[in-house]
Amino acid sequence: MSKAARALTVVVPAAFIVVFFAYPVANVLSTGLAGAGWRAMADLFRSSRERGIIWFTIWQAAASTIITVIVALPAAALVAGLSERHRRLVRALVTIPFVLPTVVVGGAFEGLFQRFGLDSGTFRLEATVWAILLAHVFFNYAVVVRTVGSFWAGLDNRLEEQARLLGANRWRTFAEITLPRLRPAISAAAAIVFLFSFTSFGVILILGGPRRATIETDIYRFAVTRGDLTTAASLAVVQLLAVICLVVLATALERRNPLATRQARRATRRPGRTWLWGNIAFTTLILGTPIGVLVERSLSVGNGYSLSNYSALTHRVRQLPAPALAAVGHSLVFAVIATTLAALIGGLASLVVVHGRRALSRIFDLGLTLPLGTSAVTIGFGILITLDEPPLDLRTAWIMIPIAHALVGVPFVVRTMVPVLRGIDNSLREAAAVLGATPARVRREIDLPIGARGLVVGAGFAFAVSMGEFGATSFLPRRADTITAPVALFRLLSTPGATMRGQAMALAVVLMGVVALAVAIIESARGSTEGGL
Amino acid sequence: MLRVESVTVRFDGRAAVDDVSFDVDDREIVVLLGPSGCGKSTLLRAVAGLQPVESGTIVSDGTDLANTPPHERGIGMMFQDHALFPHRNVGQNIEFGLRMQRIGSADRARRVEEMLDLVGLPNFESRSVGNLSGGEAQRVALARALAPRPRVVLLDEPFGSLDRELRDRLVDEIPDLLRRIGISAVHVTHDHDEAFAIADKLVVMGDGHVLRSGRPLEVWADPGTETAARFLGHRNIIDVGPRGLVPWGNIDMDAGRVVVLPDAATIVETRQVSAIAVASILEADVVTTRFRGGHHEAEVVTPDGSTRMVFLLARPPAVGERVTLALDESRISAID
Repeated sequence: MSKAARALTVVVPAAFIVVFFAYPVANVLSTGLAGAGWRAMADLFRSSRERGIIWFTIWQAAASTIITVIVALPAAALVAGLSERHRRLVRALVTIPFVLPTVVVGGAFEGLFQRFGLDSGTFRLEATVWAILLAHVFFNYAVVVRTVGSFWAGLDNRLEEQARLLGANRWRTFAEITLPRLRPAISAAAAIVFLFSFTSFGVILILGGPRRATIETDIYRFAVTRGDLTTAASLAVVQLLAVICLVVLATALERRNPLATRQARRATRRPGRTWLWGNIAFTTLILGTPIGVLVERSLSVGNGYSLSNYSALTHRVRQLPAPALAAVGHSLVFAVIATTLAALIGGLASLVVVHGRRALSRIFDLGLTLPLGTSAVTIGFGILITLDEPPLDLRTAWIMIPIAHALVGVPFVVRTMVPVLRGIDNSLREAAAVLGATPARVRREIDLPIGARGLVVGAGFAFAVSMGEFGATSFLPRRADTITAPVALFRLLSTPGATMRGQAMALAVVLMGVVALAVAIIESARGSTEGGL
Repeated sequence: MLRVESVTVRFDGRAAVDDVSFDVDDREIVVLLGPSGCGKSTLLRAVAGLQPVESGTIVSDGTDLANTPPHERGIGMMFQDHALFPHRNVGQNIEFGLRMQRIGSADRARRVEEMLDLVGLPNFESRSVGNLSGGEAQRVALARALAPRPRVVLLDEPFGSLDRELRDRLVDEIPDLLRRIGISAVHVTHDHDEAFAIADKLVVMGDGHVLRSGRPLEVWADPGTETAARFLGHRNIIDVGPRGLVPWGNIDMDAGRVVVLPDAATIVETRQVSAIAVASILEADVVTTRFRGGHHEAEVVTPDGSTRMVFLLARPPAVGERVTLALDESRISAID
């Protein structure tokens, strides 16, 4: 590779991250920590309401994590025990909820509560913490199933067979042999679930009701609803610090128990029928019910069923500056741009992480993971208060939306591509060199085509993320020609009334369909690459 | 045509290859034999240019390769686990080196076909490399290494991952094939049977050094050191006492060690003994015998139990039988 090309590989992603992530976030930090910020921060901790919000953010995240791990573990076992072909199918299906836009998840649970009369009365779930926890379990189920399931599938199960022969029953074997060995995968998955629940935005806003708030939704409330940027910045600082602590802790944990998937010998044994079908039924119930009810609600009109909610998507309604279907169109355009950007930036950055010098590789690895840990709201907020004056006055430019989406998507690209690139056996590169390929040619002939598969997977995630992005987008320009589908859906959901509710459900189903298609593409491109998200 | 001169490779200060020299003549197959970790693979990688050399020179056709990167060396290499490119099919793997040489596609296609015929896999061009059996992958890897017509090919434990039957077949086939196309080869292995079967020249390595090199039969009959002798599969390593004292009398050397080759002994009838030099007669009890197709391998122990040896005998002795063995002194050699 020529010097110029190598320099570009480093400079392009670095510049993107610095301008659109590091600088805005630093601005949030300095606003939050400047003189007025300190006072606002002190007020924050003096106010019992804010203390309650911080505490609630922590415990709902912890509860969501514990429940998700416990509920999703059987499905992880299911995935581990299946043949490769079936494993891919199940993995694809459980991934759908994970990539669903949070507003769609919120909408699905709204529909669920309404359908089964849980929106009022003794068994009211709507606007309770249970609604939030349920939605978080539904949403994060795939994280546990994919991470733990793939790792589990790589474990040598002859150890379990040995334990059984030595007289341990099924549960003892699980508790004493399997569970300890799964620990690295479980803790990795738990860290991610905690992070997502900690910075959850759409779900809390929709299902938490008017009074329940987390740090994330409160940043939004202070910044957008009340216009108190200083307090919002102080809250963002508190959240950022918490997230950094978490990421550092998770990285340290992973370093101690590396989560390397190795292909172990495995005697395949058919699982028992009851176990298999019971497990499938349980998973289907948890993941299928909200989706099924969402579809049912979208079709239900008055006392019967019809497609009128869908045809209504083409009409203008008072709550939206453009018809809902136009919003879906905007989202698609933004998603294509964001995905291209994320693939380009993330692809180049992955090359630096894998082939760059040690220090550079470390910095890129960390710098590109941080946006994943930083809440979308902080990113949107940072852009709102930073890129609003020359030389970069982009606050009202539509391009800011795909850029913000790309920022959220880049870590997904890097996270999926780096393991693929690292997994390339070095002897392949050596073989190519011995056959006459120059170092640049080796990169083009070996790294690029093999890495491309990881790139497609990462880009698929970036696309799904962009389609559903709500947190950062809610800070960005919302004009008739830029309103995105998730923002439109949120507006429809927050409007009382049966007609709007029906349209919201239909819009949610459309959005879900687009995202599910992206997942299908991810899974077919994924091939035999195991592990990771 | 390839000369390796005093090559040293160090990892973290420890010499993995220490002052090693050997030559490869035109159309010669040189086998580097040694236990795992003796530095033979590192040496091979140094020759290919994949491993920086600390000192010493590698000369090919009179050119010092010190500043030649691997892709310009024109040396073929077959990797331990084949290293076939998973994202390319069989034909694309084989033509890779030709593409690097900017050879036109028609010529490439012809060469691929020729190579596949050579390795006995006609019409395999469009197969995916993921679906090849171990032996097929092996042949494709060889075809890929040979396609660009290198003058020398390096083979790094090429049969390591194959089952025995296939290995035996390839051990016969591959030297044949290399000789047919008239190429030099350096072959690395830890299996002495394989080394004997393939080598024109054998280089025995231990702990980064060359222990012995030469024609296989010479090296085997005169291994030079105990480590080399043991590694070549010799089991009859005998201590020699003062004034050449050995269990069967005296030999013409001072204290030290000798290796008695397994074909040194013949069973003789007691009455024939007087006709042979008494010094080389050994009485021993047969402990075990094994039929090895064509000859019998017998483990014997001297009556006082002090010495055990294994011999290949034409006539099968019975277990427990006391035999009289005549030892051919020319089949005994001193070792360090």
